[in-house]
Amino acid sequence: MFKIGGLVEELKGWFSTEQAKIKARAADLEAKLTKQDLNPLPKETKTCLSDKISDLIPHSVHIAAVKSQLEEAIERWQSDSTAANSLVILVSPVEPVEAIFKEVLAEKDPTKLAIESLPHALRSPDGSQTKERILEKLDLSQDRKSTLTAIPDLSWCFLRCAEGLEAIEHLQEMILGDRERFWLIGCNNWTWQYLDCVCNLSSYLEQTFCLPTLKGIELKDWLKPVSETIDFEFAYDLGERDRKSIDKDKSELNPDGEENWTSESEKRYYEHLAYISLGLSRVAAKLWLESLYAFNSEEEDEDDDKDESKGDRKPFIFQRATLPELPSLTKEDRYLLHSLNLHGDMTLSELALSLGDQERKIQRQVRSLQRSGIIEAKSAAISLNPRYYPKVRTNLDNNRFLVGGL
Amino acid sequence: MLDFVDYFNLKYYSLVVFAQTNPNKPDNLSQIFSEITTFKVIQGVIIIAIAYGAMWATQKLMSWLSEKVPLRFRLPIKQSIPFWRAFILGFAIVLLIDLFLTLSANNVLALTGTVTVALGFAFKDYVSSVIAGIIGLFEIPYQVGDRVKIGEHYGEIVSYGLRGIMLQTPDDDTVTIPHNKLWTDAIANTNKGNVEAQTVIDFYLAHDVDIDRVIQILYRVARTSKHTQLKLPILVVIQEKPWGTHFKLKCYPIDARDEFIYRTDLTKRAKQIFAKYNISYPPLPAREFD
Repeated sequence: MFKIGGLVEELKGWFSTEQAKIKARAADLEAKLTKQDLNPLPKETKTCLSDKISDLIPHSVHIAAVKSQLEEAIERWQSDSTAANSLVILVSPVEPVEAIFKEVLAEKDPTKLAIESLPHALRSPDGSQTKERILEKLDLSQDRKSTLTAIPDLSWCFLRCAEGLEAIEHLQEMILGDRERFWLIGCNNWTWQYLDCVCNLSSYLEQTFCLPTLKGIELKDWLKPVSETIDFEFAYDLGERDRKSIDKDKSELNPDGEENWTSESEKRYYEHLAYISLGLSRVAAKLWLESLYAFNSEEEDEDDDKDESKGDRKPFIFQRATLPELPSLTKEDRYLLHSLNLHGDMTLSELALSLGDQERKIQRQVRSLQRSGIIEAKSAAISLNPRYYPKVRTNLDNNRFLVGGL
Repeated sequence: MLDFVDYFNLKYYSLVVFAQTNPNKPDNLSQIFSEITTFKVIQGVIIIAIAYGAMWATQKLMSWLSEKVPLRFRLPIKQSIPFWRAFILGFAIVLLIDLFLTLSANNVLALTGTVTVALGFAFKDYVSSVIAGIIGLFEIPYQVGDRVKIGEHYGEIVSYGLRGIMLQTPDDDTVTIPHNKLWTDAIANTNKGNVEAQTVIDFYLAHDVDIDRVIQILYRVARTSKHTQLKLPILVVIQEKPWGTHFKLKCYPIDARDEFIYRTDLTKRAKQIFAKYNISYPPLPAREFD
């Protein structure tokens, strides 16, 4: 009996074989055209560069934007008794809002305004004690002076479970009731969308500011401390469609054209990087690192006598940055990824509670997604790999999930 | 066998009657049918086989494709299946008519009358279903992918055929229902071409429970479920009964197919919170135990 399942399997097999052949041919062709034999980056070099990227402070554009918005909002709050006493900074789930807040608050003068910042570990294991934990961290004395209270990430204050939203509701009441306190709140777009749907958050926190995305030249400047430590060159070619998109964006975003590029290929590389990473620094940094290759040194030694021109060659080369393909996702995988974007990083038990599933079941799923590289686990915290963020966002949006902006 | 003979006798009789009474009658009845040759028969068989194969392949391909694409594209692809099938069938019929019949204005009239009379007697219910199916394509009381209740049967429409639809019930049974139910039965469609379908979950609690607290819990439970489509409204309604208070939680899952998992998730989590806050259930009347 002829089975459709067998036919599909055969077609799948044929498709993957043909795809592999095409990819292999494309790689051969690329190697022939560029006359380069490339290797992935050595593990030590990659780890070293990755650590350096992690140590980078957020881009000055972000810090300056938040700082100026904060100063204006505080000024309004101090001069006008009806002005909003809060400012929400909306960011992408993969942007380092905590680090931005750290830099902004470090520059504030504590003598003018007392500063307190809520720490990361606020969520309680079952989500019901978060409110108490927040209250413990706040100075609630009657005789305190005007205070700037920072919540670097609002997703720390809730967990998507029946009792996990109480802290948010309490915060809403506190913000409305305590005008001696100015609240600076960082919130990822997905959390904001969700909390606005379930708690009408925008009615309480009316003043919001979206963190700007980064352009090509800004990404180049931000990554400069890392790129300076290696000797590299650029070698790639852009597709016609991407070039047009970039040109269009460029004409809209950079009418002055005052940019400090050292070469055309560098400019093309970074503008393409900004385009595919949606201007998000952490996504761009991951893609930047993945697009870096090393020349095959053994081959080079053998060919030294044949081609002396290769002696000028630098040890590393940037190929055109590309977004990684998403592996096939199940419905349960999508729920998990949505939860991760909603909460930022979280522990396995928090993730299980947020999904309403058993921890053992989630653990298997997490391992599988971790193997495919979509999610990362650092110590106990699980989070989405920023490289996959643009495609995960599109995928969830196409599957009717409530997704936030960039 | 008798039916088959009767049908052809009837057909021949109606053709003769029609030809005798119709002022536009063809000069010769044999002019309606073109000359039948072995080659034409083979062509006819090939057309039927290809049409059958194409309909089968379209059904399988579209069903497979609809499960592979993102959720937002699933139903439009599934809903196109009946149109593809109708197109293939119509095309095959036109080819067969062209092959075996000589079509002139008079012949078409004669043939239409004949076929109508013949089918009217022999396949009344079948024709009724086919016509209802064609009308259903345009009136759209249901489409492939919808979750409908017809009579006692509830489930997702997995196939829209010439004669009827096939429902897949929550127990994974397949029920075939003829289209002519459209004429006589009420059809309840829960999602009407959308991927979301409203789910109503009933909770029965004692009269003395704190109503506000229960409503808050039910809203919270719905809003924090991973399955809930937050772009659509959530509602809690109450109805007093002699034995207790009936709460209805109305909300939508992201994918209507998850309806029963969704119900389970909401019920489980609501009951956990009810237990935590000692929210009591209505006492069962003594006769229930008898």
